Amino acid sequence: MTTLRPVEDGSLFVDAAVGETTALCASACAHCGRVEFPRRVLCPACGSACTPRELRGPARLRVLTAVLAPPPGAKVPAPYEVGVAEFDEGICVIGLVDGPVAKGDTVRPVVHQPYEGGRIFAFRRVD
Amino acid sequence: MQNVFVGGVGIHPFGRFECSYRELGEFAARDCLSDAGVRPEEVDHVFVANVGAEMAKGHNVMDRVARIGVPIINVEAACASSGSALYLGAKLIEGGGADIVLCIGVEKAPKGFIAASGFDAWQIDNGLGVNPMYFAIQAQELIDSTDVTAADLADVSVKNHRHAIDNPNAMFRRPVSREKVLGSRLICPPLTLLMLCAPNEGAAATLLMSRRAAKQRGLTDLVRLSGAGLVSRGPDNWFVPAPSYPATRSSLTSRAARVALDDAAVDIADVDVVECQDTDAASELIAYADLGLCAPGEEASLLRSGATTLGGRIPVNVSGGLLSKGEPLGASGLGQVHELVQQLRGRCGTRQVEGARVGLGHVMGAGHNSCVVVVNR
Repeated sequence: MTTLRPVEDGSLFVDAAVGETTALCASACAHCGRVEFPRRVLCPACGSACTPRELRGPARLRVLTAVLAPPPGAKVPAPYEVGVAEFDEGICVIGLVDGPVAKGDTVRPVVHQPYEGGRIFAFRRVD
Repeated sequence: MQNVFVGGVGIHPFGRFECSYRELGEFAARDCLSDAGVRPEEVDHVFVANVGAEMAKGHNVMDRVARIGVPIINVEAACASSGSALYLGAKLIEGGGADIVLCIGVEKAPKGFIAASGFDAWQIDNGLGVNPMYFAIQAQELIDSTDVTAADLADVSVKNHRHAIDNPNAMFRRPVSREKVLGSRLICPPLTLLMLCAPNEGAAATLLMSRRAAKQRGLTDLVRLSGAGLVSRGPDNWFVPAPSYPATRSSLTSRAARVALDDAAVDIADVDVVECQDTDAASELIAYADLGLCAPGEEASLLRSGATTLGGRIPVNVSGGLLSKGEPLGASGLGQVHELVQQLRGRCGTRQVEGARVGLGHVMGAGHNSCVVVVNR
């Protein structure tokens, strides 16, 4: 019988000081190579075991949009921008952006504080 | 499917009302039973689709109709809830498990952004648990990968609002101009308020009948539910609430459409009228290619040609779609079926698609899942 192991510590990104670059805690399937974020223990495509994979970028900001009215439950004050970063590992991750960015920019994940006491990854342009 | 017929359809208009969801559901159920000429006690089985009401919602709706003592099963699959209920009813009849099945969809959704769409706490806290943001990402990718422009997105809304003018079941029945759509409040770029459907209230119902029951009743001219495809998220699909997606993804709608069309032994070219999930204007354009109405990349051309406008080759959302009707989540799919069946019966007045014999309905919901159904004469 298969015993399910817990998903590492459940972290979305490697902890660092606010504003520092970070890595997203993804996983890669040992069998089919599929990369998943957030990290998975077993591959949702083929069921094989996954190993941790860190997504550090650089990535391409594939989509840039924004949320202009406050959505239910959000602690981030609206309006704010949202981007999709496409990593070389073949995965696109939705996240907040840190600082001015444009679609097509090269970005890296950084630790971001979008509201008092909050801490999350965001995408920042690489100059 | 060979043995499933639509005995009747019913609807409570979509909009905002001073009554409970139970009353909305009761209204649609009675409207449907009346249309079918079936008494409540003749129903073998009931499926009730709803997303946000309470426990035992179908039971509470049916308690107002009649206490018929048969199985009542509540179905929830986000925006595909009532498509899923219809799918279950059809499969139950096709498998010989029932002769008469009543499917009801009902919703009383609050105004504004839909909450509780399955997002994790970190997504909600950080403002990433936002449905229209997902639609905007799809819209932006559509614009980047095809020749679709913001004006095309506006024109989808213009088209559907024009279609709705004579639909008494739609919430928004005033025509809008491209300029008004583009100039309405920006919600999530590139989507403006009038490019997004409004969650609202309403109910719809479909009574399904086996070939045997139809024959016993001497009903020889019923619309047939000939195909149903219900699929859920595979490894390469993405939608609300997933926080990431593969750089190359595939279409869930395409899979559902393939299953439904194969089931019906119908080619998409033979479909006369389509009701699709226009949660937002881009979603309708994406559905064009996903359903096979055009090749990928030809979405804008198809729209601009007028083919999907009433009077065109393959009219889409002649009811006004969700953009004009609003979206009572649990009722939207059966609302589509109501329109398609009335179209096939030739009862749609000024918005009638002349000679319509094959209709296709498509819903897609969070989770992620999609249901496509084919009805024909």
